[in-house]
Amino acid sequence: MSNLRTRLTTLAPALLIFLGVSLPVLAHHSFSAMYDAQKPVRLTGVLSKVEWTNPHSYFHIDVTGRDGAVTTWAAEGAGPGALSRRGFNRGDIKVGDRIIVDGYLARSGAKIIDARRVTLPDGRVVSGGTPGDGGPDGTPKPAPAAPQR
Amino acid sequence: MIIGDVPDWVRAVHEWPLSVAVRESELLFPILQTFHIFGLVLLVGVIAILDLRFLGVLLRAQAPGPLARWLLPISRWGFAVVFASGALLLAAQSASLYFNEFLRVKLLLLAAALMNALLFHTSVFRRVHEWGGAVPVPRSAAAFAGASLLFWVGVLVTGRYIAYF
Repeated sequence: MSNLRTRLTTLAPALLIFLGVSLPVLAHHSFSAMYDAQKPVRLTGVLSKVEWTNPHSYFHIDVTGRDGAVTTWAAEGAGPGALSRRGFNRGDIKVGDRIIVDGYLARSGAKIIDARRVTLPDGRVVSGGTPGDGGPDGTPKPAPAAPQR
Repeated sequence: MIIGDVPDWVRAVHEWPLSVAVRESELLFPILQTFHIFGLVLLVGVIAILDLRFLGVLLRAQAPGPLARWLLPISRWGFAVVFASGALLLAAQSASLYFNEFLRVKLLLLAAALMNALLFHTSVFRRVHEWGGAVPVPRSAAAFAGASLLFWVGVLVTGRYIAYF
Protein backbone atom coordinates (compact mmCIF):
# COMPACT_ATOMS: atom_id res chain seq x y z
CA MET A 1 0.00 0.00 0.00
CA SER A 2 2.84 2.40 0.79
CA ASN A 3 3.99 1.87 -2.77
CA LEU A 4 0.59 2.93 -4.02
CA ARG A 5 0.78 5.95 -1.77
CA THR A 6 4.11 7.07 -3.17
CA ARG A 7 2.82 6.53 -6.70
CA LEU A 8 -0.24 8.61 -5.94
CA THR A 9 2.06 11.28 -4.54
CA THR A 10 3.88 11.44 -7.86
CA LEU A 11 0.50 11.74 -9.55
CA ALA A 12 -0.61 14.62 -7.32
CA PRO A 13 1.09 17.37 -9.36
CA ALA A 14 -0.72 16.16 -12.48
CA LEU A 15 -4.02 16.21 -10.59
CA LEU A 16 -3.30 19.74 -9.35
CA ILE A 17 -2.64 20.93 -12.89
CA PHE A 18 -5.92 19.34 -13.98
CA LEU A 19 -7.81 21.04 -11.15
CA GLY A 20 -6.06 24.31 -11.88
CA VAL A 21 -7.38 24.16 -15.41
CA SER A 22 -10.89 23.08 -14.51
CA LEU A 23 -11.62 25.08 -11.37
CA PRO A 24 -11.87 28.39 -13.24
CA VAL A 25 -14.75 26.81 -15.16
CA LEU A 26 -16.56 25.96 -11.94
CA ALA A 27 -15.93 29.38 -10.43
CA HIS A 28 -16.57 31.23 -13.65
CA HIS A 29 -20.26 31.54 -14.26
CA SER A 30 -21.50 32.65 -17.60
CA PHE A 31 -22.99 35.95 -16.41
CA SER A 32 -19.77 37.77 -15.61
CA ALA A 33 -18.07 36.38 -18.71
CA MET A 34 -20.57 38.08 -21.00
CA TYR A 35 -22.38 40.81 -19.11
CA ASP A 36 -21.45 43.82 -17.02
CA ALA A 37 -23.31 43.98 -13.69
CA GLN A 38 -22.39 47.70 -13.51
CA LYS A 39 -24.43 48.46 -16.63
CA PRO A 40 -28.10 47.83 -15.97
CA VAL A 41 -30.49 48.64 -18.78
CA ARG A 42 -34.24 48.59 -19.41
CA LEU A 43 -35.47 47.84 -22.90
CA THR A 44 -39.07 48.37 -23.92
CA GLY A 45 -40.02 47.20 -27.35
CA VAL A 46 -41.88 44.92 -29.68
CA LEU A 47 -41.01 41.25 -29.76
CA SER A 48 -39.78 40.40 -33.27
CA LYS A 49 -38.57 36.83 -32.72
CA VAL A 50 -38.57 34.26 -29.94
CA GLU A 51 -35.93 31.54 -29.63
CA TRP A 52 -37.37 29.28 -26.94
CA THR A 53 -34.21 27.19 -26.86
CA ASN A 54 -31.69 25.23 -24.80
CA PRO A 55 -29.38 25.96 -23.19
CA HIS A 56 -30.51 29.62 -23.30
CA SER A 57 -33.54 31.39 -24.71
CA TYR A 58 -33.37 34.60 -26.74
CA PHE A 59 -36.04 37.24 -27.06
CA HIS A 60 -35.44 39.63 -29.94
CA ILE A 61 -36.93 43.04 -29.35
CA ASP A 62 -37.30 45.99 -31.72
CA VAL A 63 -36.61 49.07 -29.63
CA THR A 64 -37.48 52.50 -31.00
CA GLY A 65 -35.00 55.14 -29.89
CA ARG A 66 -35.71 58.80 -29.12
CA ASP A 67 -34.64 59.65 -32.66
CA GLY A 68 -37.16 57.19 -34.06
CA ALA A 69 -34.56 54.70 -35.23
CA VAL A 70 -35.43 51.06 -34.54
CA THR A 71 -32.73 48.81 -33.13
CA THR A 72 -33.16 45.07 -32.69
CA TRP A 73 -31.79 43.81 -29.41
CA ALA A 74 -31.44 40.24 -28.22
CA ALA A 75 -32.22 39.42 -24.59
CA GLU A 76 -30.70 36.20 -23.33
CA GLY A 77 -32.55 34.20 -20.70
CA ALA A 78 -32.69 30.78 -19.13
CA GLY A 79 -33.65 27.65 -21.05
CA PRO A 80 -37.24 26.40 -21.54
CA GLY A 81 -37.24 24.14 -18.46
CA ALA A 82 -36.11 26.82 -16.01
CA LEU A 83 -38.47 29.44 -17.46
CA SER A 84 -41.53 27.19 -17.35
CA ARG A 85 -40.80 26.25 -13.73
CA ARG A 86 -41.08 29.97 -12.95
CA GLY A 87 -44.45 30.12 -14.62
CA PHE A 88 -43.15 31.69 -17.84
CA ASN A 89 -44.38 29.51 -20.69
CA ARG A 90 -43.85 29.70 -24.40
CA GLY A 91 -47.47 30.66 -25.00
CA ASP A 92 -47.14 33.72 -22.74
CA ILE A 93 -45.40 35.75 -25.44
CA LYS A 94 -45.74 36.03 -29.17
CA VAL A 95 -44.18 38.08 -31.94
CA GLY A 96 -45.69 41.56 -31.92
CA ASP A 97 -46.15 41.71 -28.14
CA ARG A 98 -44.82 44.69 -26.27
CA ILE A 99 -42.50 43.59 -23.48
CA ILE A 100 -40.10 45.18 -21.04
CA VAL A 101 -36.80 43.52 -20.24
CA ASP A 102 -34.57 44.64 -17.39
CA GLY A 103 -31.05 43.34 -17.72
CA TYR A 104 -27.41 44.15 -18.16
CA LEU A 105 -25.41 45.19 -21.21
CA ALA A 106 -22.90 42.85 -22.83
CA ARG A 107 -19.22 43.55 -22.19
CA SER A 108 -18.57 43.20 -25.91
CA GLY A 109 -20.85 46.11 -26.78
CA ALA A 110 -23.01 43.80 -28.91
CA LYS A 111 -26.75 44.47 -29.00
CA ILE A 112 -27.46 41.74 -26.48
CA ILE A 113 -28.49 41.97 -22.85
CA ASP A 114 -29.03 39.52 -20.05
CA ALA A 115 -32.79 39.13 -19.55
CA ARG A 116 -32.80 39.38 -15.76
CA ARG A 117 -36.44 40.40 -15.40
CA VAL A 118 -39.09 40.20 -18.04
CA THR A 119 -42.38 42.06 -17.83
CA LEU A 120 -44.89 40.04 -19.81
CA PRO A 121 -47.76 41.51 -21.83
CA ASP A 122 -50.20 40.46 -19.08
CA GLY A 123 -48.23 42.53 -16.54
CA ARG A 124 -46.59 39.62 -14.75
CA VAL A 125 -42.92 40.14 -13.93
CA VAL A 126 -40.80 36.99 -14.14
CA SER A 127 -37.16 36.23 -13.55
CA GLY A 128 -35.60 35.46 -16.92
CA GLY A 129 -31.99 34.88 -15.89
CA THR A 130 -29.98 31.69 -16.03
CA PRO A 131 -30.11 29.83 -12.71
CA GLY A 132 -26.83 29.91 -10.80
CA ASP A 133 -24.91 32.00 -13.32
CA GLY A 134 -23.59 34.30 -10.60
CA GLY A 135 -25.36 37.38 -11.94
CA PRO A 136 -27.31 39.93 -9.89
CA ASP A 137 -30.46 38.63 -8.25
CA GLY A 138 -33.25 38.77 -10.79
CA THR A 139 -36.02 37.65 -8.49
CA PRO A 140 -39.05 39.80 -9.23
CA LYS A 141 -39.74 42.04 -6.27
CA PRO A 142 -43.24 42.15 -4.86
CA ALA A 143 -45.13 44.97 -6.49
CA PRO A 144 -45.11 48.12 -4.37
CA ALA A 145 -48.42 49.14 -2.93
CA ALA A 146 -49.27 50.92 -6.12
CA PRO A 147 -52.25 53.19 -6.52
CA GLN A 148 -55.27 51.29 -7.78
CA ARG A 149 -56.01 51.77 -11.41
CA MET B 1 -28.49 32.16 -31.07
CA ILE B 2 -26.78 31.93 -34.44
CA ILE B 3 -24.06 34.52 -35.01
CA GLY B 4 -21.95 34.64 -38.14
CA ASP B 5 -21.93 33.04 -41.54
CA VAL B 6 -22.66 29.38 -40.90
CA PRO B 7 -22.43 26.95 -43.87
CA ASP B 8 -25.72 25.69 -45.32
CA TRP B 9 -25.16 22.07 -44.33
CA VAL B 10 -24.69 23.10 -40.69
CA ARG B 11 -27.91 25.12 -40.85
CA ALA B 12 -29.64 22.07 -42.33
CA VAL B 13 -28.49 19.94 -39.38
CA HIS B 14 -29.61 22.75 -37.04
CA GLU B 15 -33.10 22.83 -38.57
CA TRP B 16 -33.47 19.04 -38.70
CA PRO B 17 -36.72 18.26 -36.81
CA LEU B 18 -34.96 16.18 -34.16
CA SER B 19 -32.43 19.00 -33.56
CA VAL B 20 -35.29 21.48 -33.17
CA ALA B 21 -37.13 19.11 -30.81
CA VAL B 22 -34.06 18.71 -28.57
CA ARG B 23 -33.25 22.44 -28.67
CA GLU B 24 -36.77 23.52 -27.74
CA SER B 25 -37.51 20.76 -25.22
CA GLU B 26 -37.98 21.27 -21.53
CA LEU B 27 -36.78 17.82 -20.48
CA LEU B 28 -35.04 16.07 -23.37
CA PHE B 29 -32.07 18.43 -23.34
CA PRO B 30 -31.15 18.02 -19.64
CA ILE B 31 -31.86 14.28 -19.90
CA LEU B 32 -29.39 14.01 -22.79
CA GLN B 33 -26.84 16.04 -20.81
CA THR B 34 -27.26 13.61 -17.92
CA PHE B 35 -26.73 10.60 -20.17
CA HIS B 36 -23.71 12.31 -21.71
CA ILE B 37 -22.08 12.60 -18.28
CA PHE B 38 -23.15 9.07 -17.28
CA GLY B 39 -21.55 7.72 -20.47
CA LEU B 40 -18.38 9.72 -19.76
CA VAL B 41 -18.18 8.19 -16.29
CA LEU B 42 -18.21 4.70 -17.81
CA LEU B 43 -15.94 5.54 -20.74
CA VAL B 44 -13.28 7.75 -19.20
CA GLY B 45 -13.49 6.07 -15.79
CA VAL B 46 -12.58 2.70 -17.26
CA ILE B 47 -9.95 4.19 -19.57
CA ALA B 48 -8.33 6.02 -16.65
CA ILE B 49 -8.17 2.84 -14.53
CA LEU B 50 -6.56 0.89 -17.38
CA ASP B 51 -4.17 3.69 -18.31
CA LEU B 52 -3.06 4.08 -14.70
CA ARG B 53 -2.51 0.31 -14.54
CA PHE B 54 -0.33 0.43 -17.67
CA LEU B 55 1.59 3.34 -16.12
CA GLY B 56 2.11 1.23 -12.98
CA VAL B 57 0.21 3.62 -10.71
CA LEU B 58 -2.80 1.47 -9.77
CA LEU B 59 -3.61 -2.23 -9.26
CA ARG B 60 -0.04 -3.40 -9.74
CA ALA B 61 -0.87 -6.80 -8.25
CA GLN B 62 -3.43 -7.41 -11.02
CA ALA B 63 -2.40 -8.71 -14.43
CA PRO B 64 -3.45 -6.09 -17.03
CA GLY B 65 -4.89 -8.72 -19.43
CA PRO B 66 -7.86 -9.91 -17.31
CA LEU B 67 -8.37 -6.35 -16.09
CA ALA B 68 -8.71 -5.09 -19.67
CA ARG B 69 -10.99 -7.99 -20.60
CA TRP B 70 -13.28 -7.06 -17.69
CA LEU B 71 -13.28 -3.34 -18.17
CA LEU B 72 -13.17 -2.70 -21.92
CA PRO B 73 -16.77 -3.83 -22.63
CA ILE B 74 -17.91 -1.24 -20.05
CA SER B 75 -16.00 1.48 -21.87
CA ARG B 76 -17.60 0.45 -25.17
CA TRP B 77 -21.08 0.83 -23.66
CA GLY B 78 -19.96 4.15 -22.23
CA PHE B 79 -18.77 5.26 -25.67
CA ALA B 80 -22.10 4.29 -27.26
CA VAL B 81 -24.03 6.34 -24.67
CA VAL B 82 -21.66 9.31 -24.88
CA PHE B 83 -21.64 9.31 -28.69
CA ALA B 84 -25.41 9.06 -29.12
CA SER B 85 -26.21 11.74 -26.52
CA GLY B 86 -23.37 13.97 -27.71
CA ALA B 87 -24.42 13.73 -31.36
CA LEU B 88 -27.95 14.87 -30.47
CA LEU B 89 -26.75 17.70 -28.21
CA LEU B 90 -24.37 18.86 -30.93
CA ALA B 91 -26.98 18.61 -33.70
CA ALA B 92 -29.41 20.67 -31.59
CA GLN B 93 -26.86 23.49 -31.28
CA SER B 94 -24.84 22.91 -34.43
CA ALA B 95 -25.27 26.35 -36.01
CA SER B 96 -24.83 28.23 -32.73
CA LEU B 97 -21.69 26.23 -31.84
CA TYR B 98 -20.16 26.26 -35.32
CA PHE B 99 -17.64 29.00 -34.47
CA ASN B 100 -17.04 27.76 -30.91
CA GLU B 101 -13.29 27.27 -30.64
CA PHE B 102 -13.51 25.02 -27.59
CA LEU B 103 -15.75 22.66 -29.57
CA ARG B 104 -13.20 22.56 -32.39
CA VAL B 105 -10.30 21.84 -30.03
CA LYS B 106 -12.39 19.22 -28.23
CA LEU B 107 -13.19 17.43 -31.50
CA LEU B 108 -9.49 17.46 -32.46
CA LEU B 109 -8.53 16.04 -29.05
CA LEU B 110 -11.29 13.43 -29.37
CA ALA B 111 -9.93 12.39 -32.76
CA ALA B 112 -6.43 12.20 -31.23
CA ALA B 113 -7.72 10.07 -28.32
CA LEU B 114 -9.51 7.67 -30.68
CA MET B 115 -6.51 7.46 -33.03
CA ASN B 116 -4.24 6.79 -30.03
CA ALA B 117 -6.56 3.99 -28.86
CA LEU B 118 -6.70 2.50 -32.36
CA LEU B 119 -2.91 2.52 -32.71
CA PHE B 120 -2.47 1.08 -29.19
CA HIS B 121 -5.00 -1.73 -29.66
CA THR B 122 -3.63 -2.74 -33.07
CA SER B 123 -0.01 -2.80 -31.84
CA VAL B 124 1.54 -3.53 -28.41
CA PHE B 125 -1.84 -4.03 -26.73
CA ARG B 126 -2.23 -7.30 -28.66
CA ARG B 127 0.26 -8.83 -26.19
CA VAL B 128 -1.57 -7.56 -23.07
CA HIS B 129 -2.23 -11.12 -21.82
CA GLU B 130 1.55 -11.68 -21.52
CA TRP B 131 2.09 -8.76 -19.13
CA GLY B 132 2.04 -8.88 -15.35
CA GLY B 133 3.97 -10.77 -12.72
CA ALA B 134 7.60 -10.88 -13.82
CA VAL B 135 6.85 -9.39 -17.24
CA PRO B 136 6.70 -5.59 -17.06
CA VAL B 137 4.31 -3.50 -19.13
CA PRO B 138 6.34 -2.30 -22.15
CA ARG B 139 7.37 1.34 -22.18
CA SER B 140 5.52 1.86 -25.46
CA ALA B 141 2.28 0.72 -23.77
CA ALA B 142 2.91 3.15 -20.91
CA ALA B 143 3.46 5.91 -23.50
CA PHE B 144 0.13 5.12 -25.19
CA ALA B 145 -1.52 5.12 -21.74
CA GLY B 146 -0.02 8.49 -20.81
CA ALA B 147 -1.08 10.02 -24.12
CA SER B 148 -4.56 8.55 -23.65
CA LEU B 149 -4.93 10.16 -20.21
CA LEU B 150 -3.82 13.54 -21.53
CA PHE B 151 -6.12 13.42 -24.56
CA TRP B 152 -9.19 12.33 -22.58
CA VAL B 153 -8.65 14.89 -19.83
CA GLY B 154 -8.26 17.46 -22.61
CA VAL B 155 -11.56 16.33 -24.15
CA LEU B 156 -13.32 16.72 -20.78
CA VAL B 157 -11.88 20.15 -20.01
CA THR B 158 -12.43 21.66 -23.49
CA GLY B 159 -15.86 20.00 -23.62
CA ARG B 160 -16.87 21.73 -20.40
CA TYR B 161 -15.53 25.04 -21.72
CA ILE B 162 -17.84 24.93 -24.77
CA ALA B 163 -20.52 26.48 -22.56
CA TYR B 164 -18.20 29.36 -21.62
CA PHE B 165 -17.06 30.49 -25.07
